[in-house]
Amino acid sequence: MKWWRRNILALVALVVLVPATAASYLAKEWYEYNGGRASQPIDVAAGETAEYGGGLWGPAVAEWDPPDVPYVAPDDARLLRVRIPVKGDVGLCSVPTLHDGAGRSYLEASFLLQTPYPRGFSTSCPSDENDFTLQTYYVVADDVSGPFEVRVSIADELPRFLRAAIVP
Amino acid sequence: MRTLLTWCATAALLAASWFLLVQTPDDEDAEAPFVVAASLGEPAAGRNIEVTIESVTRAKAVAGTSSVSERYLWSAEGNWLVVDLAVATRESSLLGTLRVAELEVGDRRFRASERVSSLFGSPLANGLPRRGSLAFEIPEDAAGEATLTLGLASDPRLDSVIEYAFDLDDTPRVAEAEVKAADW
Repeated sequence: MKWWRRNILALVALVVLVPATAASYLAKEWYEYNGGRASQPIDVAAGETAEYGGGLWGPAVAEWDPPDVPYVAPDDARLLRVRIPVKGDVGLCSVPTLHDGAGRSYLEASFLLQTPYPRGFSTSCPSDENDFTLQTYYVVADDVSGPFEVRVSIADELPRFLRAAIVP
Repeated sequence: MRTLLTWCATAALLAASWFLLVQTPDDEDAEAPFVVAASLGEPAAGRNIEVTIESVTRAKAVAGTSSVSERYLWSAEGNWLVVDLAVATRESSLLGTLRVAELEVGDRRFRASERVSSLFGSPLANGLPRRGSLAFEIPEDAAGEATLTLGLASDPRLDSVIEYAFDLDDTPRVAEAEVKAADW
């Protein structure tokens, strides 16, 4: 009887177990890598709303260079204001970030405003309110084109996050 | 004959393993930043940072505004190196703050001063350069070759840093230099 026939059971087990072990390690690493960060988007079309983290988000409204909002920036920059109404007790959330069509991401930039931040709005979710509007500002070079989207996440909901399309 | 062959093979393998040991980069090399060399007045671009060094000056006194509040004027005497530059991010302004600003002279390293309001620690914007200064207070005996290193994260491993090499002895000297905060 040939050697491989005598050991056929062990060889089959090897063929199954080696890839299975590798796959389980990879799956664990992949889950741990993606589980703790915003990796599963809940896409919201422009003008639409979505449920996320126990609240109803949207519709997000965006406007270039809103009147009566002076800010410090070079001549080739534009200011984008985004407002996202939120209904429901969502707890704390991240400050929304802006993303453009080329994959660039933008920090919230209300520190550039030359006017006090308006009352009744906030840049991230207040912990003690159930009905509020997030208002964020971004400084964008005037040659940057869309499509634009804003992303926001809640720590307890990760890896799911909200990805809302906006049309300024 | 066979014994000789065995000894030769052993010697060759030992030599090969020694060579491998010597050639293998250590952990620090494996995580080293990617260096982009800059020259005066020319934009130098890394992964997420673009820098144009506009001027480098040595001064006996500097003046600007306080880092505590830009409402207060600030000045100091000493041996200062002032760098005027423009910096922007290219891909993401989310962690886009000028956190690495170091001057290396010989085996000594100096971080940009936090006493005066400057570009050090300023948030940056994608494709929209912010102009301003960096100020380094250096010892009287600092001389010769110097390297300025600029980067975004306070831990620049495996990311781009911009390096500008120059000679302190050839750097123009003035009595007083202005340290400019970010221009917008």
